[in-house]
Amino acid sequence: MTYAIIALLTVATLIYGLYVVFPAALKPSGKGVKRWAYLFGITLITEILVFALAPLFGWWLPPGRSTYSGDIDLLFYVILAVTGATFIGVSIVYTYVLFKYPSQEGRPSLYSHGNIKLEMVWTAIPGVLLFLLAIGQIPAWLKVKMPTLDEGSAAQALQVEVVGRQWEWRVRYPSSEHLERWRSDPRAALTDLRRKLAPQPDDVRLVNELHAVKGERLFIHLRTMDVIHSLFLPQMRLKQDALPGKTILAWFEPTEANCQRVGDTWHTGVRKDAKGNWVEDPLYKWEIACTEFCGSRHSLMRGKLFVHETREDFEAWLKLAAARQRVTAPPTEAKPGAGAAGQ
Amino acid sequence: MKGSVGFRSDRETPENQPVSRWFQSPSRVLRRVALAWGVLFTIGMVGCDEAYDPELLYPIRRDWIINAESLEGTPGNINPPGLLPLQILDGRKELLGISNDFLKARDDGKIVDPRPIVDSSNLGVELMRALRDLAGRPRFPKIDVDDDSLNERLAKELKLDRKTLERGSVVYRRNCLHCHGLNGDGKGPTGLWVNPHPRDFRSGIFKYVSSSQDEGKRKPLREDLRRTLTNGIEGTSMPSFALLPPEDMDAVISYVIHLSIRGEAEMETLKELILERGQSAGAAEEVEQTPIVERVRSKARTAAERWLEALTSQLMPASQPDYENDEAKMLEAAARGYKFFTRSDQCVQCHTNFGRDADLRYDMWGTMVRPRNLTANIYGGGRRPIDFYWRIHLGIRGSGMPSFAPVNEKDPAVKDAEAREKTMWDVVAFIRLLPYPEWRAKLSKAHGIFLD
Repeated sequence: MTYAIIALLTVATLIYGLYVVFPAALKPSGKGVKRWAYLFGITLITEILVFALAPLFGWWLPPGRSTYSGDIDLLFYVILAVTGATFIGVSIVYTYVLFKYPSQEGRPSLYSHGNIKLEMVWTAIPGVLLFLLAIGQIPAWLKVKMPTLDEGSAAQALQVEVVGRQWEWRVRYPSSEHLERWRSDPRAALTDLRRKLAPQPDDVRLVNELHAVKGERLFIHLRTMDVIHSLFLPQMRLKQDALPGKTILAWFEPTEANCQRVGDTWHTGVRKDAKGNWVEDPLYKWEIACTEFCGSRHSLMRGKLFVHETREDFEAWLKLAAARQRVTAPPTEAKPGAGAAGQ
Repeated sequence: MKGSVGFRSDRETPENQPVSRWFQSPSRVLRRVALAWGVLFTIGMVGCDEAYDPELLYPIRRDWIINAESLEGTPGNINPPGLLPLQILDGRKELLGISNDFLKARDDGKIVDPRPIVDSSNLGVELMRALRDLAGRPRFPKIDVDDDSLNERLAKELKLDRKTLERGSVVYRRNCLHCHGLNGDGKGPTGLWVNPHPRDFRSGIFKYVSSSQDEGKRKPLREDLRRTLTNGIEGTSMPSFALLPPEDMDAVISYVIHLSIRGEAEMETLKELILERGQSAGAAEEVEQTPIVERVRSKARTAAERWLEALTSQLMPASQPDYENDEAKMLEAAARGYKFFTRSDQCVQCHTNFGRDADLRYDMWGTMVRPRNLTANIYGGGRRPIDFYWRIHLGIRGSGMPSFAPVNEKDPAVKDAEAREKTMWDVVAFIRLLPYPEWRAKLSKAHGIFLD
């Protein structure tokens, strides 16, 4: 129903827009010079309406689930408020002027050549706003893009290499034996962080799935094999371009888990309710997306994000995935849908 | 004012009449634009159908057929983007110097042209009909080999029933068509532009296979195709389709098998017809002694039986390696594997300098391949030990990689089946460690093998 109303509104605006842009096509006579004013007025009202109603239907940002999602969202809302207010103000003035002063038979056009005072004002205000935004975003940028790398933070974090490729994400985790080494020697983790997680024979390799642990940092060594891709984890508010020839370090720390062990597979799209039971919730199916147009199958370059409740749960999964990769005989009964990397 | 009037009156000469009329009544133009836009929009929306056009037929094979087990020659360069090396036979002179080996192969009858057969009116039409009866149309695919029991087995064991295939054709159209082509020839619009080229299913040959059938008859299991689809093929443009719903994955596997059986029946029939025509030059009537329908069906039956046989003939390793979770043993095995690998009559023949300096060669599809650089840590057929074992044991059909050295009493490494099995696992160990600098260092420290 709501979709129908909004679709109807959009179509109506579109038709009216056509009527304005191609008046002769629809109405040959030259009357109705206030059409432009109506068009902009209707557009403005529709947009405000859609904007106001959208959150009610869930057409809004997915809730942030990482430690820095609050900082990112705050910046987003500040910028939205500034640009939104500007947009509404400009549209109202625009509509009013078009309504008040339509072209009239016999009235000569008036040409003006600027107003220095006015121009200085409307250059200075955005300038100051942009400057304030530039200053205001520094803490968030520092937090998200420039993590401090020391032995303490490296030893407590996980690391993974994510390689973008047309059109898939190839993911490589160090094995649990490797994680054991980090635990016993905190410097090893930092060395691996600096060496961009050099490949090992016992690495666990996956395609299109990323695993993290609730409350633990995950460092991502992001690379690409061909063109520019961009790793986007909407719920984590992480978006980072992958550039050919570079290994870029990104990180996030989830604050909620979204997967549960069912036998030997992990089921995503669940959350813990207040009593500590897992309940199904489609909002907890989290996606990895590519947000840099990278070719014809760009829209299919997606993956799943699993956030494990505990480190033990994660390591149990890691061990199983490693075992699946170390098989020296084919499984006697192949399960449909279970690939070498597991689902 | 005057200028614009002058402009208008200039145009109103009799020969310019139509042009000026367009300028004078913009409403008509705009109305036409609006109408055209509406019509195009409607057509566009109607075209938003996931499945193929019901009238569409599979095109018949019109490209060169390689009628030999292998192609000789050493290409000097990889083929340029947008071209297939075999196109030199269609007069693509820019390929000269890269693949003039093909000109020789054609003269030797190793590469044959199906076009004279396909273009001769009755044979072409009959073949088209026979293949349509066998495999249906892209929208309504089927495999009907005119043998009820075999048909039933195909539907039950190989999941080639019509419902699955119909779903498969939709999934294939959405995900595979643009590289692998309408009839699975690997010549979709993007197919020519990626290297290695997408697989041509019509030859019925697949590379990453685990069935123990004879090399000429070897077909993949459904599981092998599923593995390729799930993990993609590293080092090529084939991505992972792990996120397809399992039933769609099943359907598209069925559809690929369908395309392969259809293509193989077509190719084998054409080969036979070309051979017969060559033998009885001029006597065209004799060629048609066996009806085309029968030929196509019998070829399809042979292929289908091989596919069915593959399902139950997965190669199981007779023994298990003893080096998993034991570094010293792993290094020992790798050292033995190294010794075997570098024997002048073994792997190193093609994988020169562990594949770093390997020469190009031709594969069974008439494209260039390079034996894998085993230090690069990129493996098309998977990186589990069992994947390596299968490839080493069975070889990689079509690429020129042979199966493992046969049992030979004079050769201690393969003196009996047991020793052969052990040597294979040793080579697996060696290959698994080869890409990692730390492990190469360990290998040289423990066994004095220098690989860098």
